[in-house]
Amino acid sequence: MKFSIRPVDNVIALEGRFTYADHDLFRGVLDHLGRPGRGRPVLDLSQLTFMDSAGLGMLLLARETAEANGAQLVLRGAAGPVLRLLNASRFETIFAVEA
Amino acid sequence: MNATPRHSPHGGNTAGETAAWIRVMDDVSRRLAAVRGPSEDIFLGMGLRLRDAQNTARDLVVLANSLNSRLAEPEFRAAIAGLDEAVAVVEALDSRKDGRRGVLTALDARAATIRASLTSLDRVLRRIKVVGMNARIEAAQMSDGAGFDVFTQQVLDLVTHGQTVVAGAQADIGRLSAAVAGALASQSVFDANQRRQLSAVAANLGTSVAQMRSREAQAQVVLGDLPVLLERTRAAIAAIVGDLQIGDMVRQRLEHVGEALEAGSNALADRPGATAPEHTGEHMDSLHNRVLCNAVCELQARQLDSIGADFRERIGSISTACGTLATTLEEARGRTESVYSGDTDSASGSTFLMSLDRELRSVGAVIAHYDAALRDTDSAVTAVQGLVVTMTASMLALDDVDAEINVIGLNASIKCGNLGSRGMALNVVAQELRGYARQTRTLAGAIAAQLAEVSAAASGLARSGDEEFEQRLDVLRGHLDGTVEYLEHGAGETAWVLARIQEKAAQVGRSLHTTQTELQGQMGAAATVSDAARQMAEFAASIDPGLAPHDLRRAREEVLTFMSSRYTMASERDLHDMLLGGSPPPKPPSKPAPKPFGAPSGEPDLSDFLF
Repeated sequence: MKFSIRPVDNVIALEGRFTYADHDLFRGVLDHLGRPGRGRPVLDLSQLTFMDSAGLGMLLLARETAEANGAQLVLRGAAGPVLRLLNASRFETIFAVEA
Repeated sequence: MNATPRHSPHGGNTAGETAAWIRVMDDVSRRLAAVRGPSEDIFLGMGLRLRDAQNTARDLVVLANSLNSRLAEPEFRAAIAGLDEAVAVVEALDSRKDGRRGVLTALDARAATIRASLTSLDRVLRRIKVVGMNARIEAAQMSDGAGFDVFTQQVLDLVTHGQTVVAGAQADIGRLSAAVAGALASQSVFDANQRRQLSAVAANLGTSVAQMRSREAQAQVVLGDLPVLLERTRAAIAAIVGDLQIGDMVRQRLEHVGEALEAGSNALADRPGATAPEHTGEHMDSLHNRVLCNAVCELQARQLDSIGADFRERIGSISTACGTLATTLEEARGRTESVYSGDTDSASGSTFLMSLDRELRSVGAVIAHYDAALRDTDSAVTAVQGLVVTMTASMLALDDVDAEINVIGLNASIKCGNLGSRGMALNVVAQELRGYARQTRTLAGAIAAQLAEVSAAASGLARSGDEEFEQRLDVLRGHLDGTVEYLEHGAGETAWVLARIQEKAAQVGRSLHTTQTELQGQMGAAATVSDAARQMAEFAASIDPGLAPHDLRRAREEVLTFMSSRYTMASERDLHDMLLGGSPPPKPPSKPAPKPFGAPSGEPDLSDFLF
């Protein structure tokens, strides 16, 4: 998995396969979400081709980090297998999800 | 409990008594305030922890759902289907061990038979050579035997050629035996090092696959049960929310008791604020002071008694609900973990997928050794087939030698017949030659037939001998790589998620444990409230104004009118009415209906209540 941050609108784009193996890399995303004063954070999942349940667990960590920083994390653009897993896990109950 | 002050007989009261009464009420007010403040903080802390517990419970369910939904993915289904085939192939591999070794052993035996036949053939050729030499000697003794010189020379040349062919065939059969022995040795190495493991590997793999199926079925059950567990979690949280509302009411009621006591104290002290509300417009005189103090204290004694009882009941109820919540979450965590954890080392984060991964690696290792043995056998088969072709050609060449010797013998017999009695001895030799030629042909034919059998047996050993099995093996080789990779990923993934679930469950467990500990501490606060109730009741009894019931009722009505603006809750007003002789209020429902939940999922939103 790779990620990039667009500071202008606080969009963090994830790309590729998002699995348990990306735990260390994902700390970079958490660090960003933990910094104050950047507006509503958005995780752009449109370029993710696969996500496992550990990836979902990391999204929960991201939500906790954002909430601790007083922000509501938004998930955007999930499709295909990623969206299927999100739906199966009822992620819409705890995240703001945008198409 | 503080001592009840002494007082004068019924009627009025002294200034000293009034001061003592004020001290009693102020003292109780302070004790209640000391309870109220910390309780408020504790209830707020409980609310915060419950909000965390609620979020964590939701996260747990989401994580469990996501992990279980992975079981329904096509890759997982394919892995399971492939594993069934892996078990079947390993079992088939195990059952093939005797066949391959048996064929190789039979080949070795046939090679020995052929070697013996070749020795016999060589012996016959040597005899022909001896007979040919005898014929030459016999011909030399005849005056006109010159024609036989050519005949005997041809025979000797043919025998020499035949011996060369047989020597070549003997060398070939030696190489064939060596090739078969090599394949047998390779097979023996496979048998010694791997074959013995095959049964165990097949059994272990079968067990692991069966376990995987069982876990899958278990996961389906867990998946079906999770909504029920979630509902139980919600119900437990809703019950706690309801009890927290009562707890908040208790806090407010304690505040009201404090205010009532303060108002009574102020009225007695005749300080600013000690006057009755504007609608009464009168100052309290001495009798009024006694009636006021008695009524206020008796009413507050009832209030405090009721509050203490409610407090204890709610503390018990919240504690039970916390326990239920902890049990429910632990069950959800435990059941989800049981689907994935390994049998022996789940504490280390291992999952059953890791065990299966190990079994598959064992299968891969056995198949690699099997492939090595198979390659050696293939080499042997190729060598054997080549040697069989060469030797068969040799046997055909021997056939030609035999045929020529037979023709020469026939010609010699004819020539001997023309010589009459002089040719009789040579004729016997010629007949012997023809007989040996027949023997040679028979031996060569037998060897050729044995070579054909060797060739057929060797073909059965070749890979193409069981194309269907080889195809299954090829598919398994490809499948093993993919499955091992998939399982390695799955094992890492589930270990990570399980660790997260355990971490969250432990976090909730700690929160609930802290809450329950603090609730036990609140039992002390409830005891303080009950103690204050007893103090108030004793004090009220000690300052009974001694009025006739009608006068007492009227006096109390005046006092309670004065106090009524301070009672806002239904439960307080019920007690208020009781003091005037009303019937006891009906018991309120022990569990107020939970408020509607505002969260998107329909889950309870504690924030609405707490903050």
